[in-house]
Amino acid sequence: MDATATWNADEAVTELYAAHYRRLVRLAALLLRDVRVAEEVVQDSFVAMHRAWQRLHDPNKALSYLRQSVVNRSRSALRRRSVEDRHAPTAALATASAEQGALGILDQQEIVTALRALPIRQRETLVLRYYVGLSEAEIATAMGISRGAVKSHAARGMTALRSVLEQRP
Amino acid sequence: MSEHEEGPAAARLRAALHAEAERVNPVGNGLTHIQNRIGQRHPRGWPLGLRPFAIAASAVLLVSGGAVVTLVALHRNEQTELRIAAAPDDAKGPSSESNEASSPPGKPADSASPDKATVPVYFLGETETRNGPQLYREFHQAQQGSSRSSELSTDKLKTTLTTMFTTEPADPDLDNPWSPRTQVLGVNRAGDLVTVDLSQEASTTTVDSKTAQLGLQQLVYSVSAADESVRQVRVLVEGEEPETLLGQPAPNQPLTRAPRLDVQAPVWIVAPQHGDTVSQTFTMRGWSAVFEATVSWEVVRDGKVVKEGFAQAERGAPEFGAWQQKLTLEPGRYELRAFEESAEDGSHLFIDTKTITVE
Repeated sequence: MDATATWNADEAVTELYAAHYRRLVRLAALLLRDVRVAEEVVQDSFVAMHRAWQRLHDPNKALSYLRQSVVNRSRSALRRRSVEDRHAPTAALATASAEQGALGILDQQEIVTALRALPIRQRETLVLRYYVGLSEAEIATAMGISRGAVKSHAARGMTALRSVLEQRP
Repeated sequence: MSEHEEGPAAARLRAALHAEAERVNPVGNGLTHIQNRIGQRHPRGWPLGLRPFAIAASAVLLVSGGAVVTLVALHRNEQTELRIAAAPDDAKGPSSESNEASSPPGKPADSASPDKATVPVYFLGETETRNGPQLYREFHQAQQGSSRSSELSTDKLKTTLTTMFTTEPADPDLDNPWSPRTQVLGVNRAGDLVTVDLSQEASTTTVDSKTAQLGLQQLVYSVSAADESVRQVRVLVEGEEPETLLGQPAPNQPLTRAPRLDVQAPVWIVAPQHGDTVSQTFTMRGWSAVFEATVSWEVVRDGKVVKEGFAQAERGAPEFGAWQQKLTLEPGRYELRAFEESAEDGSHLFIDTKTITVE
């Protein structure tokens, strides 16, 4: 019998924390910008997962539950906080600090800034696809939307980012 | 979104997201926080009826980590009672201030309660017309140490910084890049140079470089507003020169105030503050650096402009000047707006808004 099948809720929290906490915080931070809120969102998600463990009882389902919870809670946190990142896509370039000498960092910042200016669902789709590396079906589950909607959010997001993504070789 | 769409654009996005993500590192021991909240002796989770306790406990446990727990936890509890200082009726504008060059008007009267201090705290807010955030100031009441001696100055600076880290801005349009878990470990002063020692959250909390720069200015502006003789601020983390502050490379010089126009929003409503209740006749006071010193204002109720006009600031851009406008309004909830009207197209620039109640 698989050892994971015998985990109780506390063990599930400990094991999944060790394996996935940092990555989930990074996921939330990409959606949110604010690391402290990102950590709170992920901790909330673990607490919720602990409550749901009786029902989940499976590490893969639990991870899927955690992702879904992080995405949902990040979205709520963003809506709660009236100050969303409203940087125009060009803001990062115009204001890059002298501390950041490398062009690579500038490019990266510009891309991330443009990503953060996207509508929430488009941003979620692209982060889940290109940071977490989920399939279309997994993204649909994490966001609670249809695969068709995932496709269209992704396509619109990529179109909106095209200028920053293809600006330079 | 299917795999065959993966071109150079997708690869660049993937690389940028991973690079950005790697700058993010969780602070402190998240597992302990989670375990404390779920209560390891209650493996099925909290009964529903106990949830409020769990939530209350989490607010305290979030900052756990040694002897400082109680202090910080106490402080956080006090936050719930924090009241924004009343509208400063004694604001007479900068000409009456000893240090008019460095401080906007609107300094409220000292609080009657001896252990409460009213401290100026700057926060970050976006203006629609400028790229990125700008500084705005609020006054908050905070618990102050009992010292009445020469240490008072550093006490006040410590109170100001603690308030800056742990207090939510009153105006929901404002934001704070610092982690509320950041602790002030010490404040020392030598001449006009103040050295502040902060806990590691000051280094590890990560924001983008522009926000980080402004976050440092937020700190300098808050400290030098609390004590106007302060000219330079050196930031240490856990007693050492930090490599990073707010996740970005730390400057190797003491911090000084950047030029006001570079960091401060050009139009502010200083009083009333967001959420204040005022009597039917009151004075709206502001601080601005606008063309020909002309500030436009509007009073909005239920989405409709019910009053509008202009106020004349004492000085025009590039200098900041104080202005005021007496208003008489029926009881109700209003939004006050102040802005610069664009000379080019009449659009509203640098709008600052405050929601208030008139009784």
